[in-house]
Amino acid sequence: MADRRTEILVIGGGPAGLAAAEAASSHGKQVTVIDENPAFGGQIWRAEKSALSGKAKQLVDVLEKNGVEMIPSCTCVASLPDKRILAVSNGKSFPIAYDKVIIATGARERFIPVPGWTLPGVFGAGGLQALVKGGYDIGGKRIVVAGTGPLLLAVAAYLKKKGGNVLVIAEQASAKKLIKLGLASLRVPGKFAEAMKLRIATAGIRYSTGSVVTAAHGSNLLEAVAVKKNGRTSNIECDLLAVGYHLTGNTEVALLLDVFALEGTVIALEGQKAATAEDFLYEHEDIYCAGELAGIGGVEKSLLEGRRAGLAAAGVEGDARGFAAEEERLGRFASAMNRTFELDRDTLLEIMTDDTIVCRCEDVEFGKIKDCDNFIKAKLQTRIGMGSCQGRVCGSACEALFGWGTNSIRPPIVPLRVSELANFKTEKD
Amino acid sequence: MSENLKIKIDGAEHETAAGTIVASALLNAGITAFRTSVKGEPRVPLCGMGICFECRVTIDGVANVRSCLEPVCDGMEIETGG
Ligand SMILES: Cc1cc2nc3c(=O)[nH]c(=O)nc-3n(C[C@H](O)[C@H](O)[C@H](O)COP(=O)(O)OP(=O)(O)OC[C@H]3O[C@@H](n4cnc5c(N)ncnc54)[C@H](O)[C@@H]3O)c2cc1C
Ligand code: FES
Repeated sequence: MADRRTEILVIGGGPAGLAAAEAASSHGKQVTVIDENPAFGGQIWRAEKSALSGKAKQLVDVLEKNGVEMIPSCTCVASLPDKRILAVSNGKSFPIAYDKVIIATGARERFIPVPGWTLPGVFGAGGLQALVKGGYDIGGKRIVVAGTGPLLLAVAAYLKKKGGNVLVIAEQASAKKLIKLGLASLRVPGKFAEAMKLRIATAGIRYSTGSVVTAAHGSNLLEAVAVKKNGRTSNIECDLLAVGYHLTGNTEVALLLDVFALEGTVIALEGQKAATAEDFLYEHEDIYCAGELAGIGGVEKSLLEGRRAGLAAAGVEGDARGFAAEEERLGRFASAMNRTFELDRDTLLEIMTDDTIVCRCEDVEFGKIKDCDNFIKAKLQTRIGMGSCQGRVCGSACEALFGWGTNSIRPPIVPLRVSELANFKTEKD
Repeated sequence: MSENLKIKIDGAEHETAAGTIVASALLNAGITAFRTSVKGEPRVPLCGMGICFECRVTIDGVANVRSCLEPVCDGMEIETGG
C-alpha cells in the first residue's frame, strides 16, 4: 500500500489545530488533521456525548467544505525518517508523510500527589468534567473541586449545571494574587467578563482561596477530603474530589520531532531560551507548534497561534505577520495567569508522606524517591515513570516537587499491541 | 431523543445512551475497580482524556484499552478489574 501523504499534517484537533487547518486549507493547501479523541474540538470544546456545537462545529464545517481529511481516534505515536509520522487508529498503524507538520497537541492537567489520591472517587478536575461530558451522571453527588487554576471555576460551574452538589472550590493561590490577576484581566477584552460570568455561574459555591488539599480519606472509596487554610485543617465529607493543578503542555510529539521542551512548554531551539510570547511559534525544518503546548494561555491564544501557524505553513507570510500586537497582549496575560497559579514547592512537600504514591502506574511511593538526585536515577532505582503513561502524570509531579527535568520520551509514546504493528508496512518494505 | 444501547459489563447486561464514553458508562454502573494496580489497589479514571492510563479495561477481548477514549457500541463486552 502506498503511504498516506499530505501537504500539511496537523496533529491535534483542538482550537489551535482546527484554526491552523482552516487557515492552510483556505489557501488551497491539502491538509490532514488527526486527533487521538473520537471527536474533534480539543479540551474546551469537548462536547457532551461528542455532539459538536458553536464555534467548534463552524470550524469543522469549513474544514469539511475545504476538503480537509479528518481522522478521529488517531494517535501520533512515533516519528519516522523522511518526514513521516507513525499513526495508530482503530487497531491499525500506518505512516503519514508530510511536507509540513503543525503540532497542536494542547495541554493536560498537572496532577500533584496527596495521601489517598489513588482512592476511587478522586478525579482530575478537568478529568471529572470530561467524564461527565461523556455521560457520567453526578446528580446529587457531593463534590469538592480543588487544586489551582482558572479551570477550577469552569469545572465547578459545569458540575453544578449537571446536578452535582459542589460544596467548595479550594484554590491554593492566595486572594492577593487572584486580585492582581483580576486587575490584569481588565486589560484583555473579554477576559474580565468571562471571569465574572463564571463567578455568577458558581454563585452559592464557596471559593476558598489559599486552601490546599492535604489528604483524601476513605477505606475503599473516597469519604472525605482534608483541606488546609491558614494553618488549620478541616475535613469535608464528600463523594467526589475533582482536583487538578493548572495545566502542562502535551510536549511528547514535539519531542519526537526534536523540538525542545522545558517544564511542559516547547521552546525555541536557538539559544534554548524559555518560552516567551515571541517564541511560541516554533518554526524549524517545516515544523510548527501552536496552542497550549507552546505555553498555557487559553482558547484565544490557541486560535491565534493556530491561525498563524496555518498561514505560515501555507506560505502566506504577509498575512501571518499582522498578529504581533494581539500576540503580545495575550502573551502578557498568559504570563500573569501562570504566575498567579504557580505552586509553592515547600507547601507541596509538607503534604507528602513516605507512603504517598507518586507514580500510579508502578505504585512508587514518595519515600522511595525523595532522596534521589534526579528523575533518571529515581527511574533506575524504582521504575517510576516506566509504566504505561510514560511519566505523563508523575513526571510533572516530580518537576513540581523536586524541580527534576523529565524531558525524555520513548517511542511509541503510547503502548502499542503487537497486532497494531503487524500491519505496519511502508513503501520501502 | 437518543436511543439506548445494550452493553455487557463483567457479564451483566446494562443499558446506556448512545454517545456515552465507556469510562462514563462504567462509572454509572458503579464500577470502582477499572483495573487493579501493581500492589493490588482498585483504580478508576483520573484524567478522562487519555493521559493517565488508569481507565484501562478489556473491550471485546482486547486488553488494556483506555476506556475514556472509546464511545460505547451496541453489544460491546467490557471486562474490568484486570
Ligand atoms: C482537561 C482540560 C479541560 C479544559 N477545560 C476547559 C474549559 O472548560 N474552558 C476553558 O476555557 N478552557 C479549558 N481548558 C483549557 C483548554 O485546553 C484551552 O482553552 C484550549 O482547549 C486549548 O486549545 P489547544 O488546541 O491548544 O489544545 P487542546 O484543546 O488540548 O487540543 C489538543 C488536541 O490534541 C490531541 N492530541 C494530543 N496528543 C495527540 C497525539 N499524540 N496524537 C493525536 N492527537 C493528539 C488531543 O486529543 C486534543 O484534542 C481545559 C484544558 C484541559 C487540559
Ligand atoms: S482516564 Fe486517564 S487515560 Fe483514561
